[in-house]
This record gives sequence, structure tokens and C-alpha cells, in this order.
Amino acid sequence: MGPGAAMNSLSDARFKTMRVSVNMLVPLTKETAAPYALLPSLVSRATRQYPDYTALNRRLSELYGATFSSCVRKFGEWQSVGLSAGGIASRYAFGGEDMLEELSRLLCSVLFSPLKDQEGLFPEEGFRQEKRQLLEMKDAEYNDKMTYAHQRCEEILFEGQRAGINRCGSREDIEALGREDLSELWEQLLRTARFEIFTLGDCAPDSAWFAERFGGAGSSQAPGRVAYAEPREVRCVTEEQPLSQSKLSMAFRLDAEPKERMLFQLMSAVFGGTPSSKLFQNVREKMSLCYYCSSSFAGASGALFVESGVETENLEKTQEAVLGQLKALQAGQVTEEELTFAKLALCNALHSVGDSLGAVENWYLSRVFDVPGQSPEQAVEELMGYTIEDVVEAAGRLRLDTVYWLKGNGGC
Amino acid sequence: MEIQKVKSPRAGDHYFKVCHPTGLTIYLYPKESGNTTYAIFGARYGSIDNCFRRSDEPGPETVPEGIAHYLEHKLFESEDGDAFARFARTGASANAYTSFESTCYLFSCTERFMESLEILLDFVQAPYFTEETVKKEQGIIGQEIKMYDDDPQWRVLFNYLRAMYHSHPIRLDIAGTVESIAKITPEYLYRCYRTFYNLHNMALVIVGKFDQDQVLNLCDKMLKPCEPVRVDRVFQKEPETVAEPTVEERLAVALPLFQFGFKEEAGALKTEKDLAAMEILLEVLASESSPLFRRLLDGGLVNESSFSYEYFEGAGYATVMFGGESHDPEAVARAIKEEIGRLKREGVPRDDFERAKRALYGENISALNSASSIANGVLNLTLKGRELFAYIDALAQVTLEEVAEKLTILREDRSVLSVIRPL
Repeated sequence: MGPGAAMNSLSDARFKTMRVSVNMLVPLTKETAAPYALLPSLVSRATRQYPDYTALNRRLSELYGATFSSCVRKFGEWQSVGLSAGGIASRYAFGGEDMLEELSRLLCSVLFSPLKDQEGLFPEEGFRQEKRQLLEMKDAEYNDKMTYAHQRCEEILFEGQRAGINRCGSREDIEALGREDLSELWEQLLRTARFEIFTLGDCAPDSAWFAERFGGAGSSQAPGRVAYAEPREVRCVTEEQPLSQSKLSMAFRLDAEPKERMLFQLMSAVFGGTPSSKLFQNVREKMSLCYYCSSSFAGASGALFVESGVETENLEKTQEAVLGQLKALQAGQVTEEELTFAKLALCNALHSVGDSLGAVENWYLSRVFDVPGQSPEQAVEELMGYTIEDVVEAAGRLRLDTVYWLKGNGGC
Repeated sequence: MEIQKVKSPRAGDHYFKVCHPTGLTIYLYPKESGNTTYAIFGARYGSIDNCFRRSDEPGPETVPEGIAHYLEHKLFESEDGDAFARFARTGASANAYTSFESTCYLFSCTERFMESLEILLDFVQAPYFTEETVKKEQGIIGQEIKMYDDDPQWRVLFNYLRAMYHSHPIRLDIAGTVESIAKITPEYLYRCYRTFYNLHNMALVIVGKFDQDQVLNLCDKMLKPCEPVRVDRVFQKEPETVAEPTVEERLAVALPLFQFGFKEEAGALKTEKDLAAMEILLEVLASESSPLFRRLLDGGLVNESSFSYEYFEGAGYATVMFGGESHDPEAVARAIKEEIGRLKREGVPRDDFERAKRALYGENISALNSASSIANGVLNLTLKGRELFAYIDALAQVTLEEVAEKLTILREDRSVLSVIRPL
């Protein structure tokens, strides 16, 4: 559509809904992570036409409960700042509204002419509320111990690097935010981000309309991935909290090419991604150590995480069991059956991507960081070509970097 | 075999309801969008069913807490391996869950649907429990219980239910306790299995792309006839009052959590219209368009990502509840009570009522995009004697007066506030 903006349209009239979204991709930096996380919720809480929170939400209710929301994601060392609107397809709108037109206008109005006060700043009240809510979201992440343990492990893994910055910045960064700088930062975001625009579901977008608005937006910087660094020694960090269950979070680094993403997905599925995986079958089923023990591959970070919840006295034993299963995998102890099961499970997941508009968006947005434009069907084709030798070789590239224990001391 | 076509002109969808000779009710919901076909096989048997009476036996019987959930875990195992391994061969993604009132086994797949359906129908009808396999599960379920012990959202809800209910088993944890599950034996599992996993007490729902004749032929082959035994739930008499108006606990959290709500006299099971009227009232009262939500937000009392409300009701229990994170849960509860008082005095504004109806209509149409949300919706409604399209129609037909009438349920003297605070 322009040097800094790409349009992704997948029209499918079999859906009863439609969705339009704008994602702005920028490098994560300590200075911008917090303001860029705050801005999308700030601009989308009211508009010039509906200049107050309640008025805007009433309009959305009238539009058959349409949603209008912001979403901040992290891909390795990049931040994705998104705004999306969704609702029922126009054929269900008994009032005759053109839903795509209504929602696209709403989206563009907050992007390009957000509500400001007389001094040209974002309104004070909205700023105060959104800042408070962002800080409360931080608290909620602490409340959820699974999320908390994972985030701590990731922070330690990438300490001092851009990939170690939280997707919404740190609590201190959020607390330090001032309203005065935000207008300029919003302009800067619009100028420097790479735009990925989506129209999905039962709607037929007019590409000229979007090109007119986004043709000159953004910049053409290409998103990259976290560069590989060989771990020097394993970092082990233990924190204690009064919990009944301890959490184990392990991070491995791996040296992989962007185009090898499916190979590493497959390796992770064999290792700990499905109920037939080594971790589930051995650490849970055979050893009865836990309710969950699973691995996940974070492509843009070049990392693989293993997470479990166990008795405090079993932390060490579980960690050894995980490493034991990895060793077996690296030594080639994988059967054709295990490989086939992992492939089939991944195929099922890939074929299901097209069932939900949110999943389609997430898929193509994530592909920007490895194989741009690759469809789930193409990924299936690639996946089916891998052999046991490929998986074993990929597992051989895992290097344990960080072990984080959130140690429960019996609860209260 | 009786086959009935159920249509919704509003949604543009239809499904077939089949009364199978074995006693099982089957729902077949064709869906062209998407690639996934979803099947769910469930029993009207949940964590509240610790005391029951079979229609072919005299007395009521009481069993330890947590059996429904334990059974759910163990049913995946059979003499020749576990069901997960069988699903792994077809590539289907399989799972199961136990709720207060049902136990459900499900899979979703994009290929080889008939093979997976055969596995589902087979393993749910083939219990296999031994001392050894039952014992092995204690460690796994023990960790599942402990995971929930550390989950403040779970804790705030169960503290709320325990404060609200004197004796109804809704107050019990779904998985039971580490102590109660230690009492579970293969005999208990077989006994409860044979009581509740009777096809007359179950339903099968399939949503997606399938050949109806093939599905019914497979059902004919796989379903095992059952004696027409009815199971009745036996509850102690539950007083109309709440057990404790407030309850508080301290956990490792950074921000307090609350659950606040009102106890309704349970009475007869609610109809689709009752549900629709209450949903509209809650949308008027507390949605993001409401004056109440705005006051809570401006007062710094709630946040958009955690505030929620729900009409939570079923066999012998009913409550309207609000939950979320807040620095001042007492102030949230006060504001909710005040707004209810105002609506009682001033009436429900017609504009708000109409707007709420539109929003709920859109949300329900949107939910029909997803095979899993349709399948779970149809199953859970049917196990409670309700029907999906009748609910969507009720949302359109319900009147302002019927909605306002529901305000009388929200009584201050029947309210409970549960709070989790930081240590």
C-alpha cells in the first residue's frame, strides 16, 4: 500500500463477523515501551464524534455490541501496538449499517485525529485512568503465578538486552509517564512504525480507501529477530513466595534461521508440546510429578521455554527429569510414531487457524518475523518434510541458559 | 429414531436433534465456515453430585467429594493404553473438563473426523480402573488442586460461594480436596460411572462438517443400550439467607480481588426467558455503556480488563455476581447496591434496554462463528433442559417489564462480598 504499510485482506462470507485492525510494529526500547503501550488505550477510549467513554461505548452497543480494543504484543525485541474493531457482518445488521465502513472510520478517526483538549494534549482524565489501568495490569501479572514465573524467566534470560524489556515497559517507566510528551510520541509512532493492516471475515474492503489513509504512513524498517548468543553458564535464580505450589521455568537458547520455524515447532511438539510428548508422557504420566509440564517455542526470541508447577521438594527432581528427556531426544531416542503424532497435532492446529479471525491475524502478523506471507497450508507442507534426523539435530541446538524457581513455602 | 430439524431464521442456522433408541440425545449442527469439526460427549454429572438417588434404588447415597473430576481423568485410560494416544493417531486435539453440573469429553479436528468420533464414543463408554491406576492419579490431581489453591481468582470465587451457601454442594471445590481424593477407590469410580454415565443422562453434540448418515450409523454401532434409569440430585435444604455477608483472605497478590453478588432463592430451574431478562438487566446495569461502570472507572475502583458480571445459576443455586480487581472492594459493592436502588426507584430506561438488546443480539450471533462455542453452548443448555435458538429468540422477545421485574432478586440482605487482599 506504501513503503511503510501493508494491507492483509481475507474476505470470507461464511463468517458471521468481520474485523478490521491496525498493528504498528516498532523496536522495543526502554524509552518508548511504556508510552507506546499506554497510547492505544488512551486514543481509543473516546473520539471527536463520541467525546466521552460512555458515549463511545453506547455507540458500540448500538452497533450490535461491536468491540473496539487495543492490544500490545511482543515479538522478540519488537513491540506490536494494535487497535482493532470487530462486529457482526452487515447482513445481520437489521438497522442496515455498513459495519466495515462504520468500524474503519472509527479506527481511522482515533489513529489520525484523536481527541485532544484545548491545549492540544490528550485529555487529563483519560490519561489518569489509562495509566492507572496499565499499572493494575502489571499487578494482575504478579497475581497470576504462571504468567509471573514465565515473565521473570524471560527477563533474566534477556537481562540488559532489548528482548528483556517487558511488552508494556517496567512499572517505573509507566509511573514516570507524563501527559505532555504523549502527543509527540503518538506522532512519532505513526511516523516510524511499520503498519500491518487487516480486514477479515465477511466484509469487502475498498483498497483505495485504505491506501488513501495509510499510503504515506509508517516507515519501511524491516523487523528482525533476536541475535543468537551462546550461553556462557546456566543462570539459576530462585525467588520465594507463600504459595502451595512451586513453579519451574526453564529457558533454552537456540541458533536457528527464520525459515526453520516449523522445524523447531515440530521439535518442541515432540519434546513437550502435546499430550503424546516426552514431557507429558514421562514427567506427568509416568512420574506423576505435576499436572502440567510443557514446552513452547518463541521464534522471534530464538528461545524455547519449559514450564511446570510442582511440589517444592520436587523442583530439582522435575528439572532433572526435563533435562533427562531432552538428553534422550538429543541422543536420537525418538520413534517414527512420536514424530508422526507431533506432525498430526501441529497439522490440526495449522488447519484450524482459518477458523477464527483473531487467529488469522495473529498468524500473519507473526509471519512478518520469519516467513512473511506464508500461509498455514504452506507451513503444513513444509512440516511434513521433516525427518527424525532433522528433529534430533534441531534439539541438539538447544542450550540451557536460565532456570527460574518460584519457590512456594507452603502457602498461608 | 426420531429426528427433528430445529431452525433459527434470526441466525440463519439449523441443526438436527436426534433421539437415539439407546436413550442418548444427539445434536448435529452443520457448519460450513472454518475447517474444524468439534464433537463433545457429556454427562449430567458434576461436582455438585455427591448425593444422589437412582430411580431403581430406594435410598439416597453419599460419596466423597471430587469423584466426577477424578473419573474424568481416569476415563482417558483403558486396558490397552490411554485415549490421548489413540487421538494422537488421528491428529485430533482432545480434552475434557468437569464443571459443577457436567463432565464433558471433546475433540476438535480438521481431518479423519469419523475415526476420532469412534474413539470418543468408545473410550467414554469403556471404564477401566484398577488400584494402581487410581493411585497414580493422586499426585497429578494433587498438583492440579494446588495450582488452583494459588490462583486468587479461583479462591475469591470459592470463598464467595462458601459464604453464600450454607449447605449446597456448589460451595465445594470441583476437584475435591487432597484429603477427599485420598478416599477415592476403583469401587467408588465404578459405582458413580454406572450411575451417571447412563446414555439417558448424557448428550452428544457435533458441530462442523460431517455426513449425517455416517455419524448416525456409527452411533448405532458404538452406543451401548442402557436401562432407563433416572438419577435425581439430592440436596439438603438450603436457607434463603447467606451464610456470611463478608469473607476475606490474604494471598500473595499485588492488587486486591473481589467477588460481590446476590443470592437468589433457587426455586424451579430458570427458563430461556428468565436468562434473557437477567442478561439484559446486567447489560443495562454494569456494561461498559452503563453509568455505573463509568462511575466505578472514574473513581479508580475497577479496571476494564478484570471487571465482569455473570448470572450464575443451576440445580438448586442461583446468584448474580460481579468480580474483578479493586483497591477498594467495599466501595465497589456500595456503588453497585446504590445503582440497583436507583434503578428500582427510577425504573429501567427504555433507551438503555433497547441498546442492551442490540448488543446481546450481536454477541450471540458472533458466538455462532465458532464450532467450539456452539457445541459447548448446545451441550450445557441441553443438560439444563434448555435450547440455544429459544434463548436467542427470548433475547429479542423479552419486554422491559420482564427485565425490570428481575431487579427484585437483587436484595441487599442477600448479598456477599468476598475479598482477597495482599499479605
